[in-house]
Amino acid sequence: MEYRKPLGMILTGAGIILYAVPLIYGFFKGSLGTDSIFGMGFYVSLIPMLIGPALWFGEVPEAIVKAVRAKILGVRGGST
Amino acid sequence: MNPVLVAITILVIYAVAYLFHGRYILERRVVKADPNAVTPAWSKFDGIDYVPANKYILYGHHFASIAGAGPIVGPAIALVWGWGLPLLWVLFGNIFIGAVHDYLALMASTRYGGLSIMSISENFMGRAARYIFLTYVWVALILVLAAFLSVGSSLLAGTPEAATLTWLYMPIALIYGMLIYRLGMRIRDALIVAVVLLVIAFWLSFQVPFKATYEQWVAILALYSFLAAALPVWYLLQPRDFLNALMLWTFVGLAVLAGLTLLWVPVTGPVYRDFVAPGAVLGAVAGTEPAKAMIAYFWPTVPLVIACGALSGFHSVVASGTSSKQLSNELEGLMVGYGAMLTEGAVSSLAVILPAAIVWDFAALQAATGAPVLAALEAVGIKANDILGVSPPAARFTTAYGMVQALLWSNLGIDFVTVFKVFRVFAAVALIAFIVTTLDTANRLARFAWTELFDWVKPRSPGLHSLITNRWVASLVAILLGFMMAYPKIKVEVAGKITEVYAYTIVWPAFSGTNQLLAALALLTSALWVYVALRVRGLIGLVILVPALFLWITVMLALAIWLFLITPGIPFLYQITAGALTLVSFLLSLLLIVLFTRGLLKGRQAQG
Repeated sequence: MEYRKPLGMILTGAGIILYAVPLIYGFFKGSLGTDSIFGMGFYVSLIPMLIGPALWFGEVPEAIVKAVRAKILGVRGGST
Repeated sequence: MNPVLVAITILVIYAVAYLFHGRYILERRVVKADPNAVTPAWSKFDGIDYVPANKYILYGHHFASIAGAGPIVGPAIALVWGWGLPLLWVLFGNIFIGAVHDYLALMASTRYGGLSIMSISENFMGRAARYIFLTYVWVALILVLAAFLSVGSSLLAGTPEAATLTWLYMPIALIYGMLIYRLGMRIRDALIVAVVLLVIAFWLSFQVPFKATYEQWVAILALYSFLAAALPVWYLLQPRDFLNALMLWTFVGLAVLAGLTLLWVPVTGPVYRDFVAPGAVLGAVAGTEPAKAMIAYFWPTVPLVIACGALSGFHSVVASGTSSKQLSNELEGLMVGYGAMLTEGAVSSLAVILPAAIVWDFAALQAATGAPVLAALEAVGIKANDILGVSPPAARFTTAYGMVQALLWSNLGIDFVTVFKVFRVFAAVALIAFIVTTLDTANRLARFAWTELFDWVKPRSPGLHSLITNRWVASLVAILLGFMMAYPKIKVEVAGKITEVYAYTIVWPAFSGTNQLLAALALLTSALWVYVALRVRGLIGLVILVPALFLWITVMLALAIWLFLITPGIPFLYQITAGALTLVSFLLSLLLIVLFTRGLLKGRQAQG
């Protein structure tokens, strides 16, 4: 799954831009709505923001896997 | 009556309940929680749904998930009986039924490898019971998805400030999760970062209110719910729900602070108004005869009106769905299952009922405090003499909450009307936070129910089973059906007038009965688990058995009122949808007590 990491990076970057630019625009305008292109950007921003980091960083952090391995082996009295 | 006295009484009751009823009886004498037991979060770890969580994070997830709109909207509707009776029910039902129900569902599921309470029922009531109840729950969850998509979208479309904050909230939760799980930052340090970002987001939401239509919100929330339900729990669900819980704690904490410090403010509402209210309170279609008829007797209909704040069947699905798969240690179960339920009761009692009791009569409140109460109401377009005149019920809550906070903070010299406006938005944000959290948890739970429902396919066709139960497919099916019920409007004829309503609303009136039948099922299953598997007998056993039977009788009678007094008088379309669902619930309720009795007798015989 070599494509996952770069795709995740692109989506995360897109998500950040889609969040930031409309907010800056809305800040100076006083509001934001889906009747403008900026508002539509903000509206869809959550989707790449949700998927991007998941693809980029992978699904299970090593820290959790290590903790589970240690707990299970420790409880069962086994060793690595 | 002084609100401070009421607030202190409520807090003392909850503290005693947690330590004596929860810890001493349920944890030590009934469940006998074992700190060395390996929970499913460890033994079945998959990195997606089975992931051990820090107890505070899991408490946050559980609390935020079980607290939908119910603990707020239910008590706000129940004010028609006065504020005393709903408060009594919240305290009684919360401690003796709701908390028992949630905690036992969580612990039973933990002991059965993370299986749902519906699947656990197979051990005591037979295989057929399992599939009947799983199907019933899956259908109920689709209704929840449709209703929460619709209510959430209406709120977001109507409160642009809350919409901006809700949207900014998600990436902050992701960052918080990444800081802990990816960068190994301590929870406390990551929290500081997240809180700073949240304060900025709260400020930004007032600077950049975001406007979108109802239909646009339904579409994007459905897409969000689909993705969030399939993504790993550690990635979004755990950090988001923990932050949500903190926000909700702040929300409850401020209500408690007001309750404890408003010494000079009287309670202006009536403790008791009436024992019976119009059928509209129970969900009878507005404009019809049953809606006007005085048939909503406080008992047995109160559990159908005040759901989550006192008890709710949905909680058992959460407890034995997402929470049991993340419980790291059995000793943490009390805080998660029992504690979160008490917290939810505190939302209803201290953040909804008590503020409403204080501000009830607006003119009397202004006269007693000298605060510009009527001007503040006028500033937000509310034209009513008392809290019952404010509509819809959710607005009763935001108004009462905002007003009590204004009474508190205006003492520091801040403008009363401004504080009132800010806290009304804050209350709306809290309500939306409850709803959005429940939205994706409900879809995840629908996925679990769907997966368990098709477990019989696995030995016959592993390939088909893996396709049906694929997490993306299973998440899509439920949310798609929910979307189809929340998005379109249909025309219905009520009292000779054609009106347009969202499709789900023709079934929704029956949901409260469905939900509480589910609570009865979960509590009766837990009672069997305690009696047969844990072999807890005598007086301690009655602590579970008596509430379980009381709940069953209450729900049965409430369903009968709906079936025989409301259904005949509502339009045909409602009769064949909501009426039919109530009939199914009524029949399942009868089946449930038969299966329960059989299971109890079998358990006794097996003991010799």
